[in-house]
Amino acid sequence: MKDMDATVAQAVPAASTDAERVEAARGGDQQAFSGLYQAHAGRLMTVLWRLAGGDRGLAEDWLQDAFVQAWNKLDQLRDPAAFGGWLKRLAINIALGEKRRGRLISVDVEVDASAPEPPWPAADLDLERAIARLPERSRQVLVLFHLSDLGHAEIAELMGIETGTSKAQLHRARNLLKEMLA
Amino acid sequence: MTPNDSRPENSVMDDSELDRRLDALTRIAEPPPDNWTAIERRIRKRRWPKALSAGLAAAAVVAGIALVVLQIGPTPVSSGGLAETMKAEVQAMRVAAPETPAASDIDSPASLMAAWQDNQQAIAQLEQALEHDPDNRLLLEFLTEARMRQARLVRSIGLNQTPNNERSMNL
Repeated sequence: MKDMDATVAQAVPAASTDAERVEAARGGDQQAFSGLYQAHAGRLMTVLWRLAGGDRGLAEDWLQDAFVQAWNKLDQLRDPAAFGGWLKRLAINIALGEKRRGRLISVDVEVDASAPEPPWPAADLDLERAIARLPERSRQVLVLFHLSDLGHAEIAELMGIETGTSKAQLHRARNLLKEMLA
Repeated sequence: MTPNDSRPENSVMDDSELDRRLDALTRIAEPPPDNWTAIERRIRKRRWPKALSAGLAAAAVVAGIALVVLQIGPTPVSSGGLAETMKAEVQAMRVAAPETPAASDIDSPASLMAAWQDNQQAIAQLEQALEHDPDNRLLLEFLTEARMRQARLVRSIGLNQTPNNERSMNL
């Protein structure tokens, strides 16, 4: 990892903004793109791991897919400075889309009740595990609202549900968490 | 009623405590170390520009039709003539670029639909050309490739369907 950081630092000045990196990456500069990965992957990973219900492999697959899609679609990004938000939506769409497709094959697979371990030093392991045990829809809304800073309108759009449903799922998730953590 | 029944609310965490604990959760972690290597490997593959994809399909159809016209025209074309040159050009085009873009390159439903429609048009033109010259092997090859590409696109569209766009993509 340190080697890669050094390579990135050489290719892209430390003060490079997302916009500068995006412009360079559009021209095929993979090192500039790795700078974008360094800047955003850590934040995305925490969201994706929680959306995946604590499945680290799945979260890492989604993270990879998000960056590969971002690379392929960089030309479609109108405002390079908005890369972070655009990438987040890409990643969330991948995560939610895969869950929807998965449901067509195996209907409502029971949430793994084992105790997942976050791939980072957990500040509150009990809460992390309680979130992972939430029913899928409720967990998705809670993670997007509280841990990805999205509003109900945006969550509803991403999940293909009504705004009221998003609010109801959040209410349900919070109540379940309070009961689990009591 | 038992004493426990009378105080369920007391044992449940309050909202402010839950908010405090949610706010304190880790928001940024170290990126997975091996992931970048995997991403780098996947993006190292040459990107397949969509415009080139459509252009190549159109060029292939035009070349195929031109070949048919030359072969059924009043003046016979020598084996070393224009038809052979065109055939070589078409083969060179095939070699220069992969036969179809990766699904991840055109994986938005709109892009997939556009590619599907382009390809459908190409198939129709090739079938029309084959009516004039049923034994033209090059045209048959083109048609086979186009149909295989169409099957892959249909599969990609199926994989990319979400409840929101299923209604608009009746395939």
